Amino acid sequence: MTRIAIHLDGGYVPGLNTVIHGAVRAAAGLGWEVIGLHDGFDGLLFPERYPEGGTIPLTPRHVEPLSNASGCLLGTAPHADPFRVQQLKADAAVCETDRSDELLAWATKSGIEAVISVADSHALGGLWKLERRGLRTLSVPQSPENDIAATDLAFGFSSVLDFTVDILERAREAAAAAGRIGVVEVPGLYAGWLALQSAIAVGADAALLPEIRYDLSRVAEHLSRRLPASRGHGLVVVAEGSTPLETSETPGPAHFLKSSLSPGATGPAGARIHVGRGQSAKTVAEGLQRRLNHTTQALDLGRIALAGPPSSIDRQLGMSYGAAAVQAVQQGRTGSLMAFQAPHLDCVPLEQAVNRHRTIQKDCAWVQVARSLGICLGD
Amino acid sequence: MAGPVLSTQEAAIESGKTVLHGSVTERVTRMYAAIRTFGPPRLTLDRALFFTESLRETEGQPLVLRWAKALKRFVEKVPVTIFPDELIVGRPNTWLGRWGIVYPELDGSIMPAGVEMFRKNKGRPGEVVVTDADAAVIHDTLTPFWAGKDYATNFFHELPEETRFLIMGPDPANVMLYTCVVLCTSPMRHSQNWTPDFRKILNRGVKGIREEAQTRLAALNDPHDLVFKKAFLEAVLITCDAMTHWSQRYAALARESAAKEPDPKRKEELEQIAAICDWVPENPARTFREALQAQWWAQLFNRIEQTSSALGQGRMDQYLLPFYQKDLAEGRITKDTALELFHCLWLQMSQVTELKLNPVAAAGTEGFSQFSDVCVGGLTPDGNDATNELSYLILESMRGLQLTSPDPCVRIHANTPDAFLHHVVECIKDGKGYPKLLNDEMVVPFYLSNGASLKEAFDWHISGCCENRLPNRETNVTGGGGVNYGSLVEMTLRQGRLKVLKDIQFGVPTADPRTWTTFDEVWNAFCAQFEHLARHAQIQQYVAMRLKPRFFAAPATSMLHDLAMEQCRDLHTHGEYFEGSIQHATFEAIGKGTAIDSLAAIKHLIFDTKQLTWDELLNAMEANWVGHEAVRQLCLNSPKYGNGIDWVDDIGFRIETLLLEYLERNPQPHQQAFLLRQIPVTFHVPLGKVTWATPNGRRAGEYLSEGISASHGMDVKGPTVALSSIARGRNRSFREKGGDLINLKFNPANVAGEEGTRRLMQVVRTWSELKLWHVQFNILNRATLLAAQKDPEKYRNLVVRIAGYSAYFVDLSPAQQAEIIARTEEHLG
Amino acid sequence: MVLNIQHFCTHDGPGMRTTVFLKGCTLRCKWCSNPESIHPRPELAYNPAKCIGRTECGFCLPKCPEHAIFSTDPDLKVRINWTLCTNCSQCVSACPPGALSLFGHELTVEEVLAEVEQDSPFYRESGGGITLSGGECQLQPDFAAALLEEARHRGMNTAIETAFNVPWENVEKVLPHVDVCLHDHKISDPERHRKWCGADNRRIQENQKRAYETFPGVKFIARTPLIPGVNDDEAHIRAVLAFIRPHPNVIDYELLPYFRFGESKYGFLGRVYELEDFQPPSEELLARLRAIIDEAFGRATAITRKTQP
Repeated sequence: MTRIAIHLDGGYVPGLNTVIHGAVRAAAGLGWEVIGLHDGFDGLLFPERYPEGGTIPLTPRHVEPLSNASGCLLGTAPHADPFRVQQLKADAAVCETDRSDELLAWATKSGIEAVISVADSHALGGLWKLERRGLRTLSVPQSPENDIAATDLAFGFSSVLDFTVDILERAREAAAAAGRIGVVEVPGLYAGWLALQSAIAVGADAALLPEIRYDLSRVAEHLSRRLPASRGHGLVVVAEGSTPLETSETPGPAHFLKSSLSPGATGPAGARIHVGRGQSAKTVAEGLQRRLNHTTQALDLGRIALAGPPSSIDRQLGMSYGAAAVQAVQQGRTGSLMAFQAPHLDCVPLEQAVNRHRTIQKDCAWVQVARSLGICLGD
Repeated sequence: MAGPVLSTQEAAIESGKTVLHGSVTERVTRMYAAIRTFGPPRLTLDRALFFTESLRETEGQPLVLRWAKALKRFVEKVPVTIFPDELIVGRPNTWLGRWGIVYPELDGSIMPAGVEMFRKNKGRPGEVVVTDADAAVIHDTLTPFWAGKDYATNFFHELPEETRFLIMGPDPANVMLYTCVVLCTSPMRHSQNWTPDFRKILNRGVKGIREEAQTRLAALNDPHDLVFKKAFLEAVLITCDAMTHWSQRYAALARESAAKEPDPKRKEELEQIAAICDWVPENPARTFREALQAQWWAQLFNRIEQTSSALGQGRMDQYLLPFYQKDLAEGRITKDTALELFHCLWLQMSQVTELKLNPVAAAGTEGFSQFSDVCVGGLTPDGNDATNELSYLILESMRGLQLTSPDPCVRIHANTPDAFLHHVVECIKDGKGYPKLLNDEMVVPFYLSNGASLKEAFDWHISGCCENRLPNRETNVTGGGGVNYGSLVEMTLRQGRLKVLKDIQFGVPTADPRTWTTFDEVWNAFCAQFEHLARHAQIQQYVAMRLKPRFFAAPATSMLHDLAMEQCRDLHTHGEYFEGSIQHATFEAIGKGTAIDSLAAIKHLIFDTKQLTWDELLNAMEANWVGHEAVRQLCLNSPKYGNGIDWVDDIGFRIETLLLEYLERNPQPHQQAFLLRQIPVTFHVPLGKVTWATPNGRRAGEYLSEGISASHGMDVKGPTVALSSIARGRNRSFREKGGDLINLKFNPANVAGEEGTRRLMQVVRTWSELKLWHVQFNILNRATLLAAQKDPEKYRNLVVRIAGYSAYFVDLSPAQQAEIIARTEEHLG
Repeated sequence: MVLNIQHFCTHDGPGMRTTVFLKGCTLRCKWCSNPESIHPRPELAYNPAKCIGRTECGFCLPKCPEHAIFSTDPDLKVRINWTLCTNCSQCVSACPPGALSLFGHELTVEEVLAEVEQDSPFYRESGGGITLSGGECQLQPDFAAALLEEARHRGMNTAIETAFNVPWENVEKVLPHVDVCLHDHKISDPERHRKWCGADNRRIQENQKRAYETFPGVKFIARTPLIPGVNDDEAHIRAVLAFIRPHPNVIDYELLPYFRFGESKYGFLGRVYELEDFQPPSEELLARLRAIIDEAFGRATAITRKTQP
């Protein structure tokens, strides 16, 4: 009998169970056996951490009663890397070791035909590496930022977008009540889809994206034109990875290592070396407040945006991605990534998504729409 | 999130305070506010007018006598003004705010263009207010008289053609725009950095000097002396009378104002001013306040007489101490009233502005550099530590206000007390860039090797940006010359041609670098280019020395000099050796770091690692790196001076030795030395403008490195290694080794708190042990400077360090501001 | 394996110091602000600010055998796929602007000291010297011992910064050559230590105690990186004091208020470390805790204290 494994190789997004559900049902239809791995590859590498073992057999009997609405049966693995697994050695020293060989051995020993990985953009590189070592994988793209190349829609994006739009509506209502400018930071380190699409959805005043370096004076100018009409409130959506046009950052000495060790250390340009979440919104909010005679308020959605019930689109997409992945395995198309390129749900070679991000092109329809709606993109 | 650590100055600006530190009386803050809100400096023409008027009348007489008469005319006719709150009085202008004098006999030919430049800068850095009336006077009265008669024009005409060509380029009519290849500074100033012996005015009074002159005059009998010495002594008599007369006019005004003054307190103050001005400078000062007023008269008179570009105030903590102690003991003053008097003097000095009519000179001394050095600390003539209570008090008095002048400087030696050094470092940490430090451990041996006695060598005074004077032994008055290291590098690689100057052949036609197969060939070409330029730098210096006695005299400065009085000669005649003097000429070299890094990059990339061919490098440079960014990056990332890399620092040593050996081989007559100085002021900016791309990765037109510091931002291993590297690039075995300048910049966070003070003290101690000449510090956040560029109004009082002097940041051009920002912000752990 | 040599350090022992970082660590503290030092092998570092982009340059792209360097961005700068990078360093020599560099070099004792001695004029004035840090410097005991021994022969004061999570044999080799030993005392409870630092502290504390007793001539200074909500409570400080105070050669206890914001997403090494968003401890808290320490050491409380050996 054909056996396949499925696991979640990435961070959490809403509705991950639907992908498992889709795959298990499709596999059952083919009479295949499905094994679920806990927490990325941890279930295999550290079975001792799981009272009932690190793997579980998955049948429709297991998955059908599960709610597609929330939660996640298998556990996720943000930033996991089987080539650098942190563990405690016998002599109490912590170290990272390459345990990819164990995964390959396990697959051979257990007669695994293929591993279906629900992977985020970070995990794809590792999977490609495993694939080249001989592990047959089939990846399902999941990304709250929709930044995976080769697919138009990664799993999870739609739900996060729904939530973000909801919050932005609330943020604007609150900003209006308080007569302030709300500045909301949303996920999106490399790609600004979430910021752009949510800003369009709620008709925000500005959306600042990683793809377009922004000039705060322009944003301020834009806002000052709009503020009188809105009686002093506004809404600016800021992607996590957006950067100002004019940074005082100059290439400094390469090794300011010790500086980062010292309390209160600063980088060569006087800026903090480590930029954390929420920093982009803070920078924009402070910058606007300095330039405008209005109060601003920064809000960082952070991880909360990645939780909650899946949207109806994601529910369909998850089921479809799961089922289609099983079909692809059946067709012997491992080493691929499932890709939704409307109206097709097909698979593409994994290389097409590795080393690439799906980013906003400056002349794309979304950008034109945003501009026509009077949404300032900071340029 | 905690904000950055701010220096005292930055914190004051952020909180809107004007007083940074300690006690500053309301009188002083009122005057400070008035002076700062006056805005840019304003031109005052009285000196130029009355001098011209008098000199016109006295044509044909001995020059020194004419000068004395012009001084006398000036003090008779200049308006006298006393402003409310003033305690120390005397000024050549009629407003409370910065003033600047122009000297038509120096460069009157370019006056219209210079004034045009001042006015063009309106609303921008470098602005000098010139009223329409003043512009008209310059146009109608001054220029017609002086055109062609001024020193500068004649100097350029008298230069041998080849020398003139190197300094001014192909156009023989050009008297304004320098090529900046070979430098000359004599047309920018009458005298080079000077420190008069103020003790004479304070302790003997003008009366004492007058009596000496009279005695000498009476004793003249020899027919030769009656011709050659008499005029000088007569000039001294007239000058003495002029000084007394000016002060007595102020006494009269004060008395008159006192009579009308309703406020009894101010009335009393005015009566005191009258009494003091009646007494000094004619008589020896009796009190601390009289001493300060007399000192101000003396320096003011020096400034009326001539530009100095750097009028050192001498060792104030030494010569004022007896007055201070006596007053303190007799209950005439307290520490606080002494502080207020110091503040009053500093405020007077802060209004003095050195104007440069020549655009290159102005660009080279941006922020109106003037080096009014107030020297404290150091050694007594018997070689012991000289620190006293005034050393502390003077520094303390400089901490309260954001002033750019006077410029306090401290002599540091092995036995400088920790307590004083602590005080010094705390003052440095205010972030205003002063005091600058000079090293006794270096300067004392320098003087010994140049013929001073131990007693004299211990008693040197600071003068200029990082130089020194023996006020009664040294007679060097003429501004120096020098070479542009950047041009040297360019000529080495371009067969003696300069790209910015349209590829005209300036240097020696050395071989095409593409034919060179060893680094020695590069070096030999560099040496050949240097020798060529150096000869002409010396030639222009001798021309200046020959010419100056025909154009300038300085009786007020000369009468304070032992040798001048003994030999009855004006100091400007020093081209003919003053018997018994130490007579230095100076040779400036600017951009050492640029030259070292360029030669090092060639050695590393072309010869040692063969990463580049000559074609690749030369083509990339020819294109100013455009389209060759990768080559430029290789150049930028090749080993750099200032990082403790032995072979690179060794190139620095070789360059310095090359220059020193040349100067040793070519001394002045009477075995007097030509000194090597490596002090940029801000000349490294205009000098960079004429220098095409250099192999250190520098783009065409960018500033050169400053002083003997590493190139901007290239010393990545921190200040300890940078200082050690600099120390290794120096050759100390020559008497020709004059001053050089080191800039260190720290982030205030790195020197915060008592621990930071200790750390900086250790840096200073080690700098002294490394036998380096000078060091200065900028302790500001880069963010503050960036903010000041955006909001000049808020930061209009922000004081930053330039080169041996401080300036208001907003007085600097954008290019110079960028240069200050680019200097390394040293990181401590 | 030396990571870096940092001149003019001031937090790592008495006076002005030169700190030599050895690469490799046996703990994984969540607040680690020096992730470059963790792994015991050379690692590629990338400073995008220095990259001049694929049009001008791009020499690194074909050099990478793992296809880990790519460039898709509109700004043309290259990017590293850190999952694919194996730190083979073939790209480093192909990078003119030095944006790609290697963290970690094999150096000999002589090479290290030649670099360190650049600073020796400053040691005289400040009583400074060499400090070995890391990573965990005692993880390379033979090298560390040889380096410190030679440094002492050259008249330098020697110090180490260690967490003591190493076999005792290592400590026995290194400490005889040490004047000042700055050691972390991060968390007292073993399980919490394991949670936050990746390993428990049983061996650390054993080593600490044994070192105090075996090397009475070494001056020990205990340090706690103060992490709010983890180890910044009075009880913990008192527990540390109770642990160290019986030993007269533990001359001081320092609190290091670590500032650390969010994830190091842009770190040169590109790894994403799961770091918590720690807020800095307040000045008030620091002052209060420091007062407790001063009291335990029987000295007057000062605003700032300078560590003297």
